[in-house]
Amino acid sequence: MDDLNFKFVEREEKAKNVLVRPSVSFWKDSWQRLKRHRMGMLGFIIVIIMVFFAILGPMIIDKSYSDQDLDSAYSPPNSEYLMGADNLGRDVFVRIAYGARISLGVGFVATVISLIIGVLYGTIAGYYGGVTGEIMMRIIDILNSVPSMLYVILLMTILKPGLTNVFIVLGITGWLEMARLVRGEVITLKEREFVMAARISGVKSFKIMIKHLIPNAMGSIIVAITIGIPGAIFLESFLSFMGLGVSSPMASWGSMASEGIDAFRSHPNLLFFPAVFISITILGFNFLGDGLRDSLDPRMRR
Amino acid sequence: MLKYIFKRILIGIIVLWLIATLTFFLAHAMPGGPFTRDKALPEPILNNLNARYHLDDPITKQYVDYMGNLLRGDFGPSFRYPTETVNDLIARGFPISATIGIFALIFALVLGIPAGMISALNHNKWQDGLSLIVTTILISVPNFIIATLLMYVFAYKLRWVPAALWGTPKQAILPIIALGAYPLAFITKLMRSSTLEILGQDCIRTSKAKGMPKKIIIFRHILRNSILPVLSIIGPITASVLVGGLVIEKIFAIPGLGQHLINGILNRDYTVIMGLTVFYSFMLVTAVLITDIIYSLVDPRVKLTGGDN
Amino acid sequence: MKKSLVLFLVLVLVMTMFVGCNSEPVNEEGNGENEEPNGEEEQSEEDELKVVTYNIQSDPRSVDPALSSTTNENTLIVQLFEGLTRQGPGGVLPGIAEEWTVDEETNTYTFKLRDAKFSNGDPITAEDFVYSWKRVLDPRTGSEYAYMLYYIKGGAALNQIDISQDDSDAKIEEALEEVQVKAVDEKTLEVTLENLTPYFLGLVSFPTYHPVNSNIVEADIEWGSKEESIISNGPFKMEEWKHGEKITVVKNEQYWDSENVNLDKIEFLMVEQGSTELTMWETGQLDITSQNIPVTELERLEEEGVLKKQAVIATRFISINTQRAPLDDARVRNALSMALDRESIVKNVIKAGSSPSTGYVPTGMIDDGRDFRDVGGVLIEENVEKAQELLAEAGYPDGAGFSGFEVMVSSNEKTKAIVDACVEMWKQNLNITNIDIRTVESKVASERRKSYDFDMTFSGWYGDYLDPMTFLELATSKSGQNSMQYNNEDYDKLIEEANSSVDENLRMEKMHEAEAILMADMPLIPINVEGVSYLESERVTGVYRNILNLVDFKWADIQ
Repeated sequence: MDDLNFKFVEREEKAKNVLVRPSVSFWKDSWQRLKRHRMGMLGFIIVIIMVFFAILGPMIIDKSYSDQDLDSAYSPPNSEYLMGADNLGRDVFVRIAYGARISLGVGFVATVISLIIGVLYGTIAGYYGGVTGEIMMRIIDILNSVPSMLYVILLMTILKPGLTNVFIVLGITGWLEMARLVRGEVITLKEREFVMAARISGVKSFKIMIKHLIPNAMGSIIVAITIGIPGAIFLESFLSFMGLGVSSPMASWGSMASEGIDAFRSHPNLLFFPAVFISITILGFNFLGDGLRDSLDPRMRR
Repeated sequence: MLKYIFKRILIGIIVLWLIATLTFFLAHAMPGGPFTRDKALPEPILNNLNARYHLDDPITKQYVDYMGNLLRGDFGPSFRYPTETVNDLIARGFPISATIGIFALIFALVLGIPAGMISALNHNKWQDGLSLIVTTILISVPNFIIATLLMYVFAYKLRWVPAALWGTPKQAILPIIALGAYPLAFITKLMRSSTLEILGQDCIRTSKAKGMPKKIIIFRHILRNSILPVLSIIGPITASVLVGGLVIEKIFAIPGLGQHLINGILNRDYTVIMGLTVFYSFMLVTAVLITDIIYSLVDPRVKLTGGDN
Repeated sequence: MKKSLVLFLVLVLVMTMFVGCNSEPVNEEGNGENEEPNGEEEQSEEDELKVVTYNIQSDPRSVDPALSSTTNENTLIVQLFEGLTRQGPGGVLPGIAEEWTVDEETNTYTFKLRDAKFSNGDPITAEDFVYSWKRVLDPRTGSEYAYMLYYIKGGAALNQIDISQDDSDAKIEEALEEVQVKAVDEKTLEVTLENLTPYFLGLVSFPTYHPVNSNIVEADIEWGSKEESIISNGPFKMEEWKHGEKITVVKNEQYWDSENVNLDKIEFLMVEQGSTELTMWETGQLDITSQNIPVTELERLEEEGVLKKQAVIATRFISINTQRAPLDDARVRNALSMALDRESIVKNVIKAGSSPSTGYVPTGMIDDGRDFRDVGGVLIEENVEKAQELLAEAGYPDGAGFSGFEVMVSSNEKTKAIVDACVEMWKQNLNITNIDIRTVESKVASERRKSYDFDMTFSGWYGDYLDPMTFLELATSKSGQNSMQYNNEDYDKLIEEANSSVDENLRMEKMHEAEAILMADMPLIPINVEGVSYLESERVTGVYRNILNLVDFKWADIQ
């Protein structure tokens, strides 16, 4: 080759030709994309605010959710009772704050339970595939054929109405979608090179699942969580409406809303505030979920 | 195709059988029985009643008997209403619940699909913003609250429609809207996002570049492709409609299947619980099957050989 | 595009299929009052009919008078059936019985029946009453209210035979003969009572004493649940029973007094949701509500001037399982009672025309021209300091060391607010913080109450007849309603003495003494005298209601 056609490139020149964008990790990139996604950020902010409200609210408020003052029953919103008082003179705002713990708690705990069950189930089904996988998926199909609410009601009747049981029941009935989703991801992932490499190197299956498959499916899992939480919150309010939710005097947003329906005409604040909080929270999670889905989706990298 | 349908039906039957079994044992696990009352019945009376309905047989025998009857299509007697069988209850309540459910779905589809498309076609314009606000509200507010508000505004304040009960078309309006609200919002959002995705695809740009009239583009390419995700969720949406119906029927005092199911659970009416659960599941399985078939018709890429749904 | 069209067509086809299947006839009139509440009549024949819609909230299992147990069932039964007497404007009126005499020596009543018929034309004879009453007392019938007939000599003995024993059938046949009610002739009924029972004439108007048609009953044990077989003898008869939806009754032409019955038809609806019921009434879909109007709306409705109230003899009370520690100590129970502010609860939580209890027996019953409650005086004390002292005396000063208890609340109960209020008061006033409120599904609650598996539950009692005894007998050790497991010999003795007293004054005295003992022991803690509230459309007049919470449409009319 002719020396004239090639020139030795100095390092500085090389540096100039480097791509403008520095390489970033998957997570950092997703976070940046999320920040640009308006809806997603709005959802994120709402969720953060609600979580802080749930944790800190009851701590800084003096009163308890069961403190009653019968003479102030049904007070409309005023300086003393920010959102009014309920039928026993309990402060609605205080009960909303405590209710946030219950409703969000139900959302999180139920989703975490279904997460654990669903992720494990889906990973195993996807990884092993074959007959085992088919059977496992058929089981999910069966369970999916029953409106889960029926089983929730049945189970709540067998167990006693109460908070822990709500967690358990919602968790048990909610893992199906998660399992299905994770299985789909795992099926795709297990054909990837790094998984094959791990297998060839003799890494134990279990380790592969824990260290490689699940972390890589994390994106979809996170999105599923953010969609699952509003579902759980909604189910909890539905259960409370049927009288199968939390016990008095504890309040969840759902139980407050269902009591508020009867009071709607004369004292709309009793329905309005819990309904608004439920709606905004669900909305926040939905927006966040949308935002996360868009930002974690590798196909949409620009 | 036929082979596929046949295989699915077979699976469906097995699924229903498993569900019936599971529900049977769950129902009998509930404390109390159909004849437990507030003021205690004298023991011998209780025993007589239980004997008459074979509730004192060993559980396995009850199970076998029940399954046998089920195969013959006999869901058993109702304990609560001794003059009627569960089949009677279903025959009376199902047309009502189905009407509300189906119309709610139609309402959601007929409004949601165009709304979603219009939203996507007018991305970031006012149509999009409006639909976003509306769908957001409808997705996040629980349907019993929507039902209450609708009743208050349209029945009480405006007196446009009657508040409750069932029988005239006017009485159907509010329940259908209340039940269809969530599916409407969901379908609109889904349609919007899938249309947006299609719009970004090359084949569309190519068609536009080729100078194809807009209308044809919309119907031939966009609709056909963007509707697919919507079809795939009809199954889960049907499930949510079935369940949402329980609450809607309670609020509007509609004599559909919902109240029988709820009362059945509360009254430990075993046959009603099992019969209605199997029935509901049957509806769901059928809906999913029909959806899958339609999906395969619409999307030539899908081959009905099983695989992953 | 073709494929989408196919999809659409399929959907349309499916839709039309189900519209066709809708078996409900297009029922323009709906329920007597129009769906369009502007007064337009839809069908001309309906113009002539006088129809009233009433909400009984849920479906009764049967209208067999022997099996009735709830107020709503009774309301329905009273329209369909009639006993020897009927309660109405003016008090106890002649029903199937035209006139009667009493032999005070032998405690024997002789009733002369008028010419009356069942709705199928069968004449009503004295033998029908004998049959019906013995049937109620027969333990094999399973009548929950059989104890109402224990006033009849031989009644209790018959009803209390244990039918799980092998020889029970023989014993029952024997005992049936011993029941002192007989048909002297077709139109004359004679019954001998265990004791002088001044309120007996009112008692026989109660559904449990209603006559049933023996032919119908013998033909089908479930006759009371079937539209076709419900043959009755009252102002109305069964026309249609749509389970879970409504019951329609129409004027009974065979009724002896049918010329004084104005309504043509009554429709009993089954709306459970209180707010829906209210909206239906406000928009004209319902004429008369149940007594289940949401408490939150009462104030507004009262201000609007539409709320109607009715005083009833009923006491709401807290039922305590006296065998469970720490509630087995009367001092603890009294402390709990004294720590309550009933006035506040009534005013702010219950509303609905009730008043705080001053004793167990509510107001409304006569004691020698005065109200029994007034004569009995105030037996309930409210004193927070004294309560705290008692609690300390019992071993729990300022609530320390109190082992707590569980309040069992049924999930379908409307009293949750009251429970919350009381528990909070105990927390604030007695410093007892370990009270658990456990909501339990209603069937489970019934089971647990039956088997005495509870600490405390909120309960109440509506009087079945106009005499304090209906309340006091609940606390006797043999009473089937005594879920408190209260067993006080002195109390039982006093009640027995009251029941066997010939002297009315002595009877009252004994009852007062008994009540005093009860209120000292506090196995049940009375909270308030109940009042009921309801709404009635202005176009309906003449609905008879009384202090026994009876709702009777015999004399009702539409303007």
